[in-house]
Amino acid sequence: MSGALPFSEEHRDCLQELCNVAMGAAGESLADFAKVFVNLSIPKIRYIQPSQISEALSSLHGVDRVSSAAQFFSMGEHGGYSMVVITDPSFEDLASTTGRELVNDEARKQLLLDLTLCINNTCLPQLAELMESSIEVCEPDLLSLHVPLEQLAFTDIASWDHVVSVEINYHLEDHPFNCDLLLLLPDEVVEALVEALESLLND
Amino acid sequence: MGIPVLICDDSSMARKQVFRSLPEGWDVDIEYASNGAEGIEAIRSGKGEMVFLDLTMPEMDGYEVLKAIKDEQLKSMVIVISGDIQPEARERVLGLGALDFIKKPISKDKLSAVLQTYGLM
Repeated sequence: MSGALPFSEEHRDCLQELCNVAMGAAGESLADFAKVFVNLSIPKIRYIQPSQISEALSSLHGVDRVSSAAQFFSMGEHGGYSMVVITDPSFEDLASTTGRELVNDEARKQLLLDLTLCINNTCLPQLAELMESSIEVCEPDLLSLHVPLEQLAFTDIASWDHVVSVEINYHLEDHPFNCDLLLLLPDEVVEALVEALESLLND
Repeated sequence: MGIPVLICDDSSMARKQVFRSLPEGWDVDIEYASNGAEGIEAIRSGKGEMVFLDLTMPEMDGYEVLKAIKDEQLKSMVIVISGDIQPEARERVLGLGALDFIKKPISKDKLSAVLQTYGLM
């Protein structure tokens, strides 16, 4: 179960709107990459335990297996992960729209890493710009290939107490491709995040 | 009586940003809606002669609002303000009858430029 957010409704609304603009910019990059119109959704913000990561992926509920990759980023005092999770049918779909051949899992891995970079390279700098912050982003790491959604785990965040998660769903119009971008922020950055949001709201 | 202006966006911050970007001294009556369904209701009751419309919203999204305006032949000038910056999103909303498209985040300059283009200020 996701719990009450550790900040006010006004802060949630502000964070959601910033993510909405950043995800929109990344949606254009994805549309460019996939050569298909991207259907955007409303970002969903939750407060979860690290072991409940599959609950933060509500747009993927009902799917069988997923694959994921993530990048660590630091934004001023904030640090977190940006994780990209896609369904199994998304691989074939994206391969066909981008003209690639998926001969083996190595090719799938490369496609997932390229997709992760495509989304994060736009979304994260845009988010930083909106928050008037600098940003550093690490290289993406593959986390899992073809695991059941409920077994999806992320060991790097296992030691976190709680996680603020932002779920951003990308769907290619009239295509099976379905992908969640999940921003994951630890408890320790909440205070700084709230300060940054507060300063934007008072601008 | 000022011009009835509707600001339709699910984010209260975004609604405030649009309000603060309106030209100073503009004679308008402002109405707010936090989703497309509320938005189209306000337009039907004459509160949206001019509409600043978001696209990604619950209940009814901006595309559906534009389609309803078109289908019901409502008298409304719509300027879409959205984070969905795909060129095709712009083409689609213009095809559905929107006057123009402004990329989020909105600013006074961006809004004034568009309003001036159409002789609205």
